[in-house]
Amino acid sequence: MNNLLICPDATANFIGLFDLSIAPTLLYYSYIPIAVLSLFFGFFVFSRDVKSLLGRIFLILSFLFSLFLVNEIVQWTAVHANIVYFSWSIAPVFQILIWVLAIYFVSVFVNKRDLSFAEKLTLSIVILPVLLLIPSDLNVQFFDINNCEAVSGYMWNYLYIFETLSILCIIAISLKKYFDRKLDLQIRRQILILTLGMILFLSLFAASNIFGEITKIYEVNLIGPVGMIIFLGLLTFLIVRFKTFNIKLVGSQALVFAIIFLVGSEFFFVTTLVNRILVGVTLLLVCIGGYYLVKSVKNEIKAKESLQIANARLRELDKQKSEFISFATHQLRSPLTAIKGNTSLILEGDLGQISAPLKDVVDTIYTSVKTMINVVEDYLNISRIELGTMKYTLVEMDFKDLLKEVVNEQKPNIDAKGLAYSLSLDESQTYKIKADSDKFKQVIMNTIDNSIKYTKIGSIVFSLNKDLKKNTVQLKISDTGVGIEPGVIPKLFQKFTRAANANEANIHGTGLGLYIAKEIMNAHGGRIWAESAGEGKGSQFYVEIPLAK
Amino acid sequence: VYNVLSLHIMDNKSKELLVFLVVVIICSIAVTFYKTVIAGNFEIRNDIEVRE
Repeated sequence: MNNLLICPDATANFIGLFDLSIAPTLLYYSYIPIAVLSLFFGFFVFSRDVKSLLGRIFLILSFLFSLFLVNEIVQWTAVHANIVYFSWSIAPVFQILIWVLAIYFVSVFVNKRDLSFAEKLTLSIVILPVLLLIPSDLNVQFFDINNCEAVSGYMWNYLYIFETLSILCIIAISLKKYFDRKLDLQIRRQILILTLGMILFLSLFAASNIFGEITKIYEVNLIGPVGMIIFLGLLTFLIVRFKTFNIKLVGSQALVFAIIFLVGSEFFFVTTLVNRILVGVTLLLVCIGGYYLVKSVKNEIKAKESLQIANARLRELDKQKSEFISFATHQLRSPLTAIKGNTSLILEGDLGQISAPLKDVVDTIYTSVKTMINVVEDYLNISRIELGTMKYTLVEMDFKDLLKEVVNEQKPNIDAKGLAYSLSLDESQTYKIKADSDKFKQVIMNTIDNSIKYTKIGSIVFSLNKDLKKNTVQLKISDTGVGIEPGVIPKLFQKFTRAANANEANIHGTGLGLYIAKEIMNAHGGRIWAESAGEGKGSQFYVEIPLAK
Repeated sequence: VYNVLSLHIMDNKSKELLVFLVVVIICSIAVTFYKTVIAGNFEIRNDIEVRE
């Protein structure tokens, strides 16, 4: 080490190798805390789940980033040309590895899987030229002893192109996943936040390096690592937001300590008494603010934990309620069916002739029992849907035949109200669908029944159409009934919802029919919806189901 | 280090690739260190040199 060249105007005033007065003060103020913070977060994330690949990649990324910053400090403060040259030469190793790990990190986070060997090999091949050319003149051409700087070679252009392409690659990986409609909204938000943080970090990092290199104003490099703080902040938010609450507490404490550390470190760089007082006051305010922040997070955690317990209890109670309804309705259905069957026998005269007044009474019993059975059936279906025990047996059938059958069954009700009706469908065509015949029939029955109930005068039109583009069959039921207010339509398919004018129109119902119909249609991969021009202007109900393949 | 690098969960091909890259990096840095710090084998311009 005796042959080390010393740069002019430099004095080896720190362990015989460095001159701490050469570098701008901001270097220590920004690089050292960021390196420490980066390492701290790396270990913090890793310690949450040591088996997580993501945590491991992030730890290595943080470690390399801290090493890069330390290497930068060496470049700025080393007094010996040899050390500055060496430090300058190895900087691309850290840079390219940081960028590759950034791609790796985003890819694993977004796709929830490790990279394939082919992907790893491709990345390795791309970075290999940089790793191999480190000792060559293509990396560093020569040393400018006057400015105590190394002069970069052509390999750096390759590095900068790689950095720019990496940013595009990260954007592509994230966007591809972000626009996947099957993905949960919360996961898409996570992807957006992480990508935004990573892009900000890498862009600031690359831009400051490239700008510094072009202009030779290396002070610009000092703002590059600030992007890491933004990334760390967003990453902490992600980890904290989507994991257990205790981590949230640790996260907020870590943040407070980091800020205290950053403000506290300013003490080393201020010289005047006024500045020291200002820094002291700032530090005091940060400590007080931090204390209240941690306290409020603690309170929030407690409140959320209580809510979680209450929520779990409510779910349990809801399940018990559904089970009870299921049990009770099962018990009620058998005697009601027996009453219905027997009253039917009396009415049909199978048990001998009965007097007219008695027939009226039995007829009322029969109608009431029928209504009651329908109500019980609705409740039974609701409890099945809520317990997830509703079973569907899909068979191929012709929608046309089913519609004609239901309309035929409902004809007495339509005639009883004096309504006109028409059926519009193509007899020469088949409308093949795959559905559970009983349940799908119930949907059509409920919807038609609904139209009849809410139409006092006028007509009902049933039209069946195929949409070959969407590969669906659509049933449209148009009536001239009471119509629906626009505000009511979105609530129409919710439980216990009835039209506002239902009572005025003297219509009885549980408000469950359309909810059940919607659930059944969802299970069939179809949908049901309603449209209306407003109150008194009739309504249109649509039932859409995929065509059988 | 073994755990952090996830070597135990890596497939053999990835493990070999990682070992190869680590060897390349170490060799590259070692050669650069020898060339610059020990041998001082690099070009210096603006000949204002001060030798210790």
